[in-house]
Amino acid sequence: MTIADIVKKVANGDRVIIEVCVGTACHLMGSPQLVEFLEDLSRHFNHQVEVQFVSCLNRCHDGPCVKINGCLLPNATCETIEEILLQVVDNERRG
Amino acid sequence: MMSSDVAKIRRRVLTEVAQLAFAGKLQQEINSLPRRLIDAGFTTKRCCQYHEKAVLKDLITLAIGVSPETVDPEATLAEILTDSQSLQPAGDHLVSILKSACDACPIDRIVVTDACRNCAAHSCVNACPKDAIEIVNNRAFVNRERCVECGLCVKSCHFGAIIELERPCTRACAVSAIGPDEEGANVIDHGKCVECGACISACPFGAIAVRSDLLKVINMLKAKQTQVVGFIAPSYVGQFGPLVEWAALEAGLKKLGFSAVVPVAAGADIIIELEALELVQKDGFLMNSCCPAFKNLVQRYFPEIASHISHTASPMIEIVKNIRKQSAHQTLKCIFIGPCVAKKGEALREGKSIVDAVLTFEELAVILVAAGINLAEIEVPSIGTTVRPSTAARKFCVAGGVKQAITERYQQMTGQQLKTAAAAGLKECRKLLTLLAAGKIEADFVEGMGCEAGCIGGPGTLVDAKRAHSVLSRLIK
Repeated sequence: MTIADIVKKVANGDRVIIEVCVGTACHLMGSPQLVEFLEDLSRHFNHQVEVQFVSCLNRCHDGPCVKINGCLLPNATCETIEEILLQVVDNERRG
Repeated sequence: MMSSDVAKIRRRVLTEVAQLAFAGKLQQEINSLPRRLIDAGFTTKRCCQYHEKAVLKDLITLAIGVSPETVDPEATLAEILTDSQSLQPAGDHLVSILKSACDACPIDRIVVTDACRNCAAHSCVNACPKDAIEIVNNRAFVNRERCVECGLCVKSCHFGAIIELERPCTRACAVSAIGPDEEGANVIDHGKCVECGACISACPFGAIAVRSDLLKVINMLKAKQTQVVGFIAPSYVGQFGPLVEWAALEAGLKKLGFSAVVPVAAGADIIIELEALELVQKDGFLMNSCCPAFKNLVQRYFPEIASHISHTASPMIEIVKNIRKQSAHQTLKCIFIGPCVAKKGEALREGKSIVDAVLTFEELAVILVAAGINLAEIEVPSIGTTVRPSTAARKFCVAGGVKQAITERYQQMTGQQLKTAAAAGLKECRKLLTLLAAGKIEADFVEGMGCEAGCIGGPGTLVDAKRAHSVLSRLIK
């Protein structure tokens, strides 16, 4: 799934829920950095972004994984998550 | 904690090695592992496949517990593995700079950049006390023979055109143990190194790493007749993610095959008692013995005050001795698991024949992942450990924690206050020790921590010190 696909799916609804896998495999491959970044971000987004911890997203070899409004993003980085969220916001602005 | 891309590369390699070891296929497949990783699209971000393969080979060598500096460069990984099983690892060469991965980054400290405009002011020329700056080809030029690297020209340039560079590992090393070899790549002088591990986290090329006990531990866990006990350092709090507390960690280790899991904070409780007693009986000041990097620093660089280090062993050694005394089991294997690189050295020396291996939290997570154990989903038994270390002992892992614990206990014993001094991070420790040795500081108890923020800032941690600290303060009041 490309970033554009995820953006399309996420765009409906005004609240973004991000599930971060904090299982041991994803944790080892960098979910602590994602959590740090997302908690900051959710403050910036006026708490319209909700961050939840989940224990496994069943893609342990492609960690760290997150789900954005139900869409799985494997090998997640702070940069890709930010890009997705910015595009979602931008789409909303354009209507 | 370190730059996450570099950490990811190392962790992936460790995990692959651990998986092969659990499957019993390491000997057959180790030679083809670099090829397989590259074919699967894994990259160590080097210029070409040959370089990638060389870096992977060195990383795998460290993962199986061998320092690449000590092997024949022509030997295959399978040969290195075979040899390693018959040899006892030497006490030194714990931390290695991988020649293949070291970029031999620029060594000249003062560099004039393209931004130099050969301006009329020539403030760099005027600022230089050694007349080391000349104008050559319409641009400032540093004469290396005269330059003393004072940095005054850097400060003086209005364009910021002169920069000061230093290799990150060299800068991170508080004891100047890292310097270039004849080819310009950095090497560690093991005679000077105190094994703090600061350089490991500092290198942006991931070229510095520590020899791992990963394989040793996996082999112990696979040998059914041995009993393996895990000793968990107090800094474990928050290290395995927001959903994992002690009970899950304990359950996970038991699932891995550990027969018992012991909090090292219980050893810290023994230390509080013994060090406070030492203070009551002793003339002159006392320094903590729990941090091996700090202890190495004192012994090597301030031998005149080394007798002031507490004669009490570290919490690791005390608790391991204790458990060994209680156990009748002949083939007990004791594994320390913590944030620390220097503990690996301590285990090889003071802990010889009682501490069998030392893992970092990172290495433990690697073993868990390789064994398919997810601590966030593990079933936790309703009855956990019965050992309950004190709050004061659990805070040993935070800078200032040891000092606080000892002061409080001393006050309970004598009703008197202690004068204390403390430093965290080896550079700060070095400053404090210089003043102490010169008699410029008066203190009864001195706490030295090799890592900034204390053990929670150690090179073998999985989360950053700030987060670990906030989890700790929430859990331990």
